Amino acid sequence: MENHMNTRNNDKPYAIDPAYLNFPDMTFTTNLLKLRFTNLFILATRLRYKWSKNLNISTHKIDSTNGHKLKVIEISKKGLADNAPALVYFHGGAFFLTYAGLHLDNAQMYAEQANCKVFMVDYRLSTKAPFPAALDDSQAALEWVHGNAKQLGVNKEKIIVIGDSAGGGLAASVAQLTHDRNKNRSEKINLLAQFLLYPVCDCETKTASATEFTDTPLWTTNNNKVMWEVYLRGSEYKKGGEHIPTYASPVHRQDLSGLPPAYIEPTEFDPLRDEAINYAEALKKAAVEVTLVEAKAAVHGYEFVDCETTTKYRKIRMDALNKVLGHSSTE
Amino acid sequence: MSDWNGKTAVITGAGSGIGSALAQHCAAQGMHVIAADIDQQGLRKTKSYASKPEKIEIYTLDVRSEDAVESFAKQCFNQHNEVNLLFNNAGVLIDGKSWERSIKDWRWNFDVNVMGVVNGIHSFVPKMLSQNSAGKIINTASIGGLLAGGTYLAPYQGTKHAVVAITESLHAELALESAPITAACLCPGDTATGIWESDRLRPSEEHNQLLSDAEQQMHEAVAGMCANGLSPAQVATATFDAIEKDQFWIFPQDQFKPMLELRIEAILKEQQPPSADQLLAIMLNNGL
Repeated sequence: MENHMNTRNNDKPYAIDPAYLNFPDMTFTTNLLKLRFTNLFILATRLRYKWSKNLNISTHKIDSTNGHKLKVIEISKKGLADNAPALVYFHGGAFFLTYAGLHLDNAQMYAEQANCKVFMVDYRLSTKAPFPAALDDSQAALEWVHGNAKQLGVNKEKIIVIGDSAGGGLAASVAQLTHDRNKNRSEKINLLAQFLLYPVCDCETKTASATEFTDTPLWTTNNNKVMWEVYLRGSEYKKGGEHIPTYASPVHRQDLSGLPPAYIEPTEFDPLRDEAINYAEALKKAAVEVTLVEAKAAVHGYEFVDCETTTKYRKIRMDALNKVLGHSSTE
Repeated sequence: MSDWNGKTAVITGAGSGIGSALAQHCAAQGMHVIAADIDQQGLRKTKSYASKPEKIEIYTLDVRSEDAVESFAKQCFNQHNEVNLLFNNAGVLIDGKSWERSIKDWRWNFDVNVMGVVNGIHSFVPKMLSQNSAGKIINTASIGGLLAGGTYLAPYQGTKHAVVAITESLHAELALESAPITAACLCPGDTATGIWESDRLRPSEEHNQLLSDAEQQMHEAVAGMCANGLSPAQVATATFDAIEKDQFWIFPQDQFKPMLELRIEAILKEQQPPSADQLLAIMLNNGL
């Protein structure tokens, strides 16, 4: 990790691809009403979204915990053959923001370029219900896809969980929870892989990157703390308890053996960088197959901007995805 | 006026939501409560939920009708000689694209939310001015009476802006009278009430059909946001705290203030109302 420590020179700007420097400074507070309003504006901007004409889009309402009816959006290429692989996709947004156009773009990219069905999970946000509501919904979505694979035209041996940012954390947690629940399931859910893109996976916010990057574009030390404050509000841990809720903070799980192969993509100038690297290293030690691709010169949520760096790391990600799925390569 | 015991409260829209909570709160304070609503079943529920149901009289009332409100006021004064707290609270919500909601829908929203308040002022205020005791008229507006530009919220926000303006005028006018009658404007934020299912109070042939997925998504999002807000009981408690302090503005949640500042700033600078993208950027940018 030392090499990462040295990338910042206090007198000079970070070596970030200049394309990302126009990101708005985002500063979140724990004002829940403001966060809810922010979500309304995200929704208002999302309402203009136009899906590619090559896609079929449908919406499912499925049962989750506490009687919650969960929305899952199914996205697939027209004419996709039956028994297709499935990506269960958890969007990012610090657990408290709804999905934006970027996440729909991602879902569309996966569906179009990896010949699979994408199931995008509209999990409960932490403005509405703190942990574990989002995880309950994420897990419910995966189990629903697996349990209804035949009707959905999905190959249940080729299910991948994928997520960016907070969604990456949810994907990691779902992989852990699924592994644990398999012990009591007659039919195991064998995840083909977990794709964790600049994931949130450590609630302690104490790594070097989490403390050092106070002013990086999009995601900062402050926002990181606010995110956990809101997500874990009401938990014993946030009230000063010692026990860290492990399914909320994947890096704190002791036994990582037996988890599905992981593709982990930290971004270089991101408070979350080190926790992703730490998780990757810990998985490797537990003999889990790990592909660690650090997106150099990139920032958290870098995909918001189209530029060479974005294209490069998306291509690497898509190639890895197609490889796992046994497809030749990205077209 | 902190000893409410034996005083009289009149509450419209008391069959559900904030009105129901206010009625229960007033009854718990030992007040005589006249709870009015178009929804008789709702009124019975209000009475049954109350810790002191014997303090609550129920009255079926359509606040849109000036005649009905006038006879209601007469009956209240015949029985109690005074009204110390009048909550013009009945309110409904119509949402959807401005040009697609029928004129009938628009009119229904204005008739209940605006003319309901006006009818209450018209029939009760003259009688309250002649009673020999203090009284307050509390009109239920909303933070939607101070914030505008909500996508697909024109009918509702339009009515609530009217309630705010009417209440401010009422306050100024009452200040010129010698009687100890005052006004207050209640502006709740997100509150878990049935207002997003206002259609339940209309005949089935008048039920709304939101025409587009966009409107439906926005409806569900705002309704969902409100469902996670304060409980009506919390709003009632906060309202009473503010009444005790004789506040004109009653804001059970004040977290909307940064957004009000944003609006006022744009107006003062004569800028276009911000687009959703701009609002989003502002929300994300300056940590309001």
